[in-house]
Amino acid sequence: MAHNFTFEHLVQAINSPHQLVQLSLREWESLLFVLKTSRLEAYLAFVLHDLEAWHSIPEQVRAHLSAAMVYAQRQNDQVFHEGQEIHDLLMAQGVTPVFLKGAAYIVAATNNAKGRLCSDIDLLVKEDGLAISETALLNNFWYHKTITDYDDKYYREYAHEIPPLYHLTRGTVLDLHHNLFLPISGKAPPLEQFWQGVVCQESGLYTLEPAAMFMHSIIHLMLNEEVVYGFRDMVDLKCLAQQYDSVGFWQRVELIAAESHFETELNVVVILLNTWFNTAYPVKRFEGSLQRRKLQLLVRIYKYALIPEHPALHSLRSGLARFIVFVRGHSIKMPLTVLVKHFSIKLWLGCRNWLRGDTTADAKPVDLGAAFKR
Amino acid sequence: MKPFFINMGLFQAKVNDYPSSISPALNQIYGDCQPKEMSDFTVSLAPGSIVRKYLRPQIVFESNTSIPFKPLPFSQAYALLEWGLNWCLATHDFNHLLLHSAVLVKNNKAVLFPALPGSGKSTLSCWLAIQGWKLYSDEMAVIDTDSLTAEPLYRPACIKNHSIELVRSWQPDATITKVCSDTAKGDVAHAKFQTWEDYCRLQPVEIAGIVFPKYDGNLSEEQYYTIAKSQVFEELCQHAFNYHVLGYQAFDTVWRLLDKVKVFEVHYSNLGFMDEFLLDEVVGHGA
Repeated sequence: MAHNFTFEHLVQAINSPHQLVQLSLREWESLLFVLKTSRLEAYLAFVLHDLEAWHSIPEQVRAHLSAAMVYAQRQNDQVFHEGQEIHDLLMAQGVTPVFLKGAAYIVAATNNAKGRLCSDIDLLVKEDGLAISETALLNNFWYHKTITDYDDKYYREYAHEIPPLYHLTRGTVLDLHHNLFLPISGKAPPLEQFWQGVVCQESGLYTLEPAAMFMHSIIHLMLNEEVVYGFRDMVDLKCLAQQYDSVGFWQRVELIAAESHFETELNVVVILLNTWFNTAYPVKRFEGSLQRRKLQLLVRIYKYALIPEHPALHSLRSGLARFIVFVRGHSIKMPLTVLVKHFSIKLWLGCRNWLRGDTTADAKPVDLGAAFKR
Repeated sequence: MKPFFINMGLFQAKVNDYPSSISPALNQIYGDCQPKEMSDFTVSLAPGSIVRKYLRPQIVFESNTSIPFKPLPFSQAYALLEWGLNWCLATHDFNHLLLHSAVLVKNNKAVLFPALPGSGKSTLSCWLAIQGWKLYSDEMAVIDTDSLTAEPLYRPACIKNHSIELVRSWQPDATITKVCSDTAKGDVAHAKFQTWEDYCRLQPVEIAGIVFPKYDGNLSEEQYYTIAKSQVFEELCQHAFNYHVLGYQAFDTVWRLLDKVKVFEVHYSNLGFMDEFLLDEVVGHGA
């Protein structure tokens, strides 16, 4: 497979890791490069490490896998440490922080937690606790980087999160959410079901319950305009589905999907999981033919869009599919009128600064001192 | 275009795309290495955009879809490749402790020279290499976290500014690449002091000492001090490329290493003194 590494080889590696011992060094090379780009190297490393096959893997390959495990384990530890600090800080203010996505998998030690990399920590708080949380964080070594007035307004008025927070000494990035999708889109899910099932993990940190975690992962994957790590997200979903697979789990998932109007998105993901990972999870049958056709179309688009962006796997189809996802993602985010306004302002500011030869013209100076002021 | 394989010993990089202008340097430095079946890194050097291919040409280093640095002027392509390879090692190898340091070996004992910019580390490395020391690495000490030995790398030394002429004057037939002018570090060239065959005979060796060299041309008399190990500990942690990733393991490795090595700070004006000093005080004169 070395000279023609395909997406099917990647999927096969995830499905049948024990068979990887048969790979030649050339084949391993192609696989490792694609795994690194897809952020799945450490995941597969931990899977292989637990198998008897580990010792049959060539030493040069094991060196890569070991290094990936060291890196991921370190990040894992950091998430726990950072998570505990944020948890203590916000709980003292009477706010319950709920960890989302990567940080949540790590905190909840789900099946995909080992080797899961995350570039930031995502946190959900109730909207009425948002201001208190932000102030508490700003008073405790977290700060906002310089962004333009317009970007600040965009976050505050349209988005489901505030501008990212950075830790002054450790550089950790924190995204503080008050919803799971942009309220301006009109598609933000009602949060009652999500909050209802919040669970306290062994570490004392909070996450969504499994079904809500699964559904949020789907919302994030299917509504975003970028799917750079989309295949990794599918592996996350595969692990969650495998771990929690039960009648009760799927009923709960369907209930949350129905209440938040993301049934189509749920079906797209379940169909793709079943296709790629040889499972038979329940797919709800849609009554309307329009709904059915929309589902079919989305499945066809995402089947290609979620192929990792690596030159070895590149095709015209996946490029086109990603472009459609990009346009769709933007059109879902905001009503058309707001989107046109948003693009116009962005374009105008960009042109103006370009003409001025100044790319930081709109930036406000950061007041680092604010972090220390009480 | 056929890829060029850079076998650095511990690691191999497959250079998929590169300008023909760096072919002579590539062949000078790595032309004799024996490629392995599997490469650990895939890298390329390509023009940033079609415009920058013709207008004030630039070159971009890419490794497996990531672009870690801003583009550099086209003439600095080879230097960018060497720095890019440093980046590859530093961001992917978490099986060893990687220190920003030169490693020189004599009588089967290694001396580390942790980097202090402007300390004349590379010039000293080249001098010692010409005096018969083995240059295990000029930029990066690769340390086994169990055995605490230093591993050799098949990489050249990076020499800057007037050191380039000095090295040429010491060894007129030295293998030195064409000079890249006006880089962030001034004029830069790469020099190699061993063949692939020489390299293949090298083994991991015990680290006997850590020396912080400081060249001072105005010094009338050489001076050397021992330094408190707690202070060196901090220096080494700061000089480690992957300390933050290895965490406790890095702490433990540095600690155990410091426990068994001699540590000196040496101010010198005479390179011949360094050779003598290292033999007398650090690695011994051998059997």
